[in-house]
Amino acid sequence: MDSFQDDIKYENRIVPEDRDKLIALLEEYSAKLQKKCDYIDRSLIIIKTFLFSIAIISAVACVYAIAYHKRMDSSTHFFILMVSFLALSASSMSLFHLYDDDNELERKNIINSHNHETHALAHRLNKLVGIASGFYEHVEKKEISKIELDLKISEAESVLNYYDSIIGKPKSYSYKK
Amino acid sequence: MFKDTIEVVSTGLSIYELVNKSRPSLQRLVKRLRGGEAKIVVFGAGGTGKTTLGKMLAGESDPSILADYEESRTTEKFNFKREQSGIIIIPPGQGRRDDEWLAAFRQVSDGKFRIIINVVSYGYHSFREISYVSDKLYQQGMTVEEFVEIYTEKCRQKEINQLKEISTPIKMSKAVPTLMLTLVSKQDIWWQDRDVVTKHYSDSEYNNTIQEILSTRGTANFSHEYVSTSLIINGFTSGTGEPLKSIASDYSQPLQFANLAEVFKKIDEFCQ
Ligand SMILES: Nc1nc2c(ncn2[C@@H]2O[C@H](COP(=O)(O)OP(=O)(O)O)[C@@H](O)[C@H]2O)c(=O)[nH]1
Ligand SMILES: [Mg+2]
Repeated sequence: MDSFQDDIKYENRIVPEDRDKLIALLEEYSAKLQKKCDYIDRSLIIIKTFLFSIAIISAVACVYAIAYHKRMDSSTHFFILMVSFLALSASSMSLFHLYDDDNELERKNIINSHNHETHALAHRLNKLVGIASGFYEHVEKKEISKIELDLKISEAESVLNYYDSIIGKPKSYSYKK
Repeated sequence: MFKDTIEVVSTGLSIYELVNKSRPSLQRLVKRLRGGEAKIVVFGAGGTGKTTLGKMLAGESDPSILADYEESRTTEKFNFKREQSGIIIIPPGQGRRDDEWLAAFRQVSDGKFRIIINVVSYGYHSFREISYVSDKLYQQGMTVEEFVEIYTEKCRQKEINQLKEISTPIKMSKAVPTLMLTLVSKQDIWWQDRDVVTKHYSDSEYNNTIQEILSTRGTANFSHEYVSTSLIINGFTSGTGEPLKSIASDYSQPLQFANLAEVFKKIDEFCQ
């Protein structure tokens, strides 16, 4: 039993001296994830804007084709109507999917196609937060150091929450039959 | 507080099957809790089993999911989607998260919850990532047993302090019918000391605080009961996986089933 205890004393354990390193890592990875998320957020905005424009243009075309159908020959009229109608339904359906909170798949695909690293980054930061939080609760004795650690962890957590909000992590566990 | 004789021997059933067998009563629960916002709130220190309980009540009972300790970052909400109204909310238990507790306290004093569950585990609070030798309570040369003794002692004090904190909004709460349960979890770890555990909760500082709540709230629309079970049978390990206390040799799955069913029954009875 004793030798077993001695072994683990020196193996994979976090010691009080690790505090500064932990804080530095939290800062570094929070900043990295924040940057990635900002990038993804911007991409999503661009995609949404693009889809909105298509929806509006095709809606206008639709209305135009209906209002001025007497000035066109019937095949042109039919063609414009069909194309604009299809574009309108396709773009509004995609928009609907993007805004639907239950539908994280669409968003995830976009995010994946943009960046595979982001998931890994969030995963690592989450782990880091777990370690730091354990450190806060179990290792750190000095009150002022705890305060600093608490602030750094909170910052990291708000970035993680930001990440969750972008990829649409379900906010509740639904009871499924 | 708990069953130590087994009437129904249900060998061969997994916890998954047991929870599913108990589902009808829980569905009744959900129906009775219709027509409002959050209805059940689960308090308790970090690592006592709140999330595990929430998952079980919400019907997610895959043991492999239950065994993993993920520290909860924000208040968890388990929605009963089909019924629209039954909601379990669980503010995270870590000391750092007191702001989320305050939000839940406000809802408690507004009388939003019909059932308030306080989860305690006789000080066996799980922790993540950290070896027990890194814990500030550990001192050079200590044995595992010595560490566990002072660690759980400190956690038991934490449980009492937290009960005192939640007692304030419960005392001030609007007079809506409320059931408060103290769930003493992790039987599998402390089963051999069950007499001491019973005494600790029902005959000392913890119970004094409960009695204070009872005398302030009155018994017309408020009641408190002790219930106890193992949510999973796993023993007690440190954040880096060192075994700290093994499963009690006289504890068994049938005992867990009998006690878990009892917990579900208590909740169900209140909903009749
Ligand atoms: N041995 C044992 N472990 C349990 C029991 N209930 C929960 N745990 C474990 O305790 C740890 C913390 O549980 P969790 O539900 O996440 O606690 P929370 O922090 O209160 O939400 C997890 O590793 C669970 O598997 C129990 O009855 N017995
Ligand atoms: Mg939790």
